Amino acid sequence: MATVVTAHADPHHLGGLGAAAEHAGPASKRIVTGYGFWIFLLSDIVMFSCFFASYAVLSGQTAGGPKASELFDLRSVAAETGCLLLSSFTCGLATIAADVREKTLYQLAMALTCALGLAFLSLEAREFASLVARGAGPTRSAFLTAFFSLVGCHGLHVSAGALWLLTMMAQVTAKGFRADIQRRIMCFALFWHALDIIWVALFSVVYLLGAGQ
Amino acid sequence: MGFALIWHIWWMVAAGAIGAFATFVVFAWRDHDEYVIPAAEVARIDQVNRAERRALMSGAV
Repeated sequence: MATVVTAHADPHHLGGLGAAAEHAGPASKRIVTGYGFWIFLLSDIVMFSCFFASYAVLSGQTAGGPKASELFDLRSVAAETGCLLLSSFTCGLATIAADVREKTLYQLAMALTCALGLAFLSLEAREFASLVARGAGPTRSAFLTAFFSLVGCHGLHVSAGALWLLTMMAQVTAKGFRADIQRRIMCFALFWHALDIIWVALFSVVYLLGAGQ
Repeated sequence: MGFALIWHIWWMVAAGAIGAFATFVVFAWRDHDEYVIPAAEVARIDQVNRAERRALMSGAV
């Protein structure tokens, strides 16, 4: 008789998954939002992988123009990398501050993140300007077109991220740590860290491999 | 904005970028961004709809 009762209580034979069976109904909004934002991030990464693939194919096609090893200033790139990695750290601090609802620490960490992001962008802009000034603009060769598209696409993402960051600082000032604001802070942090991951790949594939060519 | 970028219409690029950001901010500042339709209300609307369709069908035959 006991087995019959069990069969009715466990129609999908979940057996040991009792905990999972208890979580009936939709997941919390935080989970759903995070999941949706991950899908967006993955689509972004798919786009970046296309740019990476075209760069990998075209990196040798210099059309008689300058090669990667003649163009890149690895010291400036190292400074850019330092800025971006540090900004990821301060972004993590801002997330922790938002979790414990420390407004001052949150604003301070976000301001630092923004400053480091802008420092990265200005270094990148200087690098691009010096390349164009040396006659190595995006129209010089297929290699340089692929380079400017890939690195510029990442730079545009960081610029949009900086705008989003400033909006999130204003939102916390105007509305406080409301549940929906907290979810947006989480999405922003995911975006910012994803950009960092893409930069690490970019740094390795474009600059380090390029310096060896 | 994409159209403007392709054809190098820079004033339109600026207008598009500012417009996109303004829209983003307006949507971000809403305090009620969703509403719930109770199941009873959905059932009522569905009942009315079905009743009207039935009336239409019986009239046509």
